[in-house]
Amino acid sequence: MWFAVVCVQTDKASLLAEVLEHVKELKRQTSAMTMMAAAVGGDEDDDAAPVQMLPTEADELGVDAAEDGEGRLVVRASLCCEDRPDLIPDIIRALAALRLRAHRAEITTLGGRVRSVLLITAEEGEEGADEGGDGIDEECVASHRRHECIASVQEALRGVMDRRAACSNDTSSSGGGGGGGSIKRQRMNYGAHEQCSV
Amino acid sequence: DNASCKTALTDIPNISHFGLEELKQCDSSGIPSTKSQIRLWIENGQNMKCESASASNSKGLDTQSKSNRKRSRPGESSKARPKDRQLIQDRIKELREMVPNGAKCSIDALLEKTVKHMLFLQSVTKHADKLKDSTESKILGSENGPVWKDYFEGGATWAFDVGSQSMTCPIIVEDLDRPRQMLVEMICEDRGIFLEIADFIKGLGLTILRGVMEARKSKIWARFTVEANRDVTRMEIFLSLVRLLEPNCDGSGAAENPNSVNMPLGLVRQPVIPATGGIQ
Repeated sequence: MWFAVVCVQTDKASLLAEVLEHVKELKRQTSAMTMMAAAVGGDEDDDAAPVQMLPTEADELGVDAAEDGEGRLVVRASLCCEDRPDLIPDIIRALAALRLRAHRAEITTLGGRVRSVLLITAEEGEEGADEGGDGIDEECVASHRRHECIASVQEALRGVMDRRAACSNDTSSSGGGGGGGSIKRQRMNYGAHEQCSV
Repeated sequence: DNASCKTALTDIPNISHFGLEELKQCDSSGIPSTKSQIRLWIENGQNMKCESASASNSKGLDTQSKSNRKRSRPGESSKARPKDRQLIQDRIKELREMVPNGAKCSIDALLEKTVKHMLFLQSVTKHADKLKDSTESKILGSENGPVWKDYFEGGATWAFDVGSQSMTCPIIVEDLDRPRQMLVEMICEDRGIFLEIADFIKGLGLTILRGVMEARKSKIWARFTVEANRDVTRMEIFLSLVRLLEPNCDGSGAAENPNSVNMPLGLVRQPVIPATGGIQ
């Protein structure tokens, strides 16, 4: 029995070595691609930090904000999670609840996981956190508003991502989560029907 | 001693539980040698399982070694014992560092995560391949969008030259080289829906491999490289999009909605259900 175990252990050691090599090699290959994707995927604004465009295996959320050429606040949110049919509706709802709307989106799906990089602005007429400007530095107000915006967007989108984790019934993504073989239910009725009445 | 025997043996049956299923779905081109080696390991494990029940003596093991021809190294084993264990521990530790969430789980869970991780990394390279062909925007511009300036300076009626046609609100659905992959590109009026368009595309059974959308000054531009999960024609997709994006489309509106598929005018003259877009 002991002998048998040793046989297995010998196999295990060299097998593990090979597995490690394979994983390292795959990582080498993909890191080049990941960097390329980040470079290509950046938006027009050269000052913005390069953003990872490919989905990652772990859920990620990054929110930052800046002012555009006309002084309006633009929030950039990058979220990566498991793909599901109600993901985009949830994002829309979360932003709408804050009276926000995306005006630019870059979506990449791979391995059943999806990353969405969104540029978000306030709806027309949205004042934002106006704390009554008397004697308060413009700079201060703007910075405060920026932080509040980032925080509320972050909270809202974190909620979207966590919703998935809360109601997931299986955690293994065998690469088919996003759209590998399932017909997605059309969750939102946009009034379009599939029949082609020619 | 007995404890460590047990540990070594219990690892393997668990692998056979998950590993083989995963590997069956695995594309053999990416990780061939690993797959066959893991399979051998599983076979070893299952044989071990049988063997452990019976009388464990060297006689039984010699039989064992013969059947696992690739794996039997009877000469090394007795000397390499403690070193092997250390090597295995070291390598497991290294694997834990490389595989996401690998730090605290059991060994069989770690191996399952390893397979999952390798499949994911593989899909990254496949993804890059998939997108190689479709980097050019069809509607005036670069990867990231149309040249908005030209678009808005055109006056009351903006027309794009797409191929030999001149279109104001083009919707393009094209096949790509890979099976079930298509390029869907459009410019439409901003009627209050934006991300909903991406959701609609998904709802048609199209996975968005890469989608870029931008809204500016009451127009929306979008381009999606998609992969369909069923056999759907370009026409189906096109018509569905027309119904979504141009709800007032009728016979007279034909000029507004030309397309890359040459459609007789009569086809457009259908009663169209307006988009209701119940969002909240």
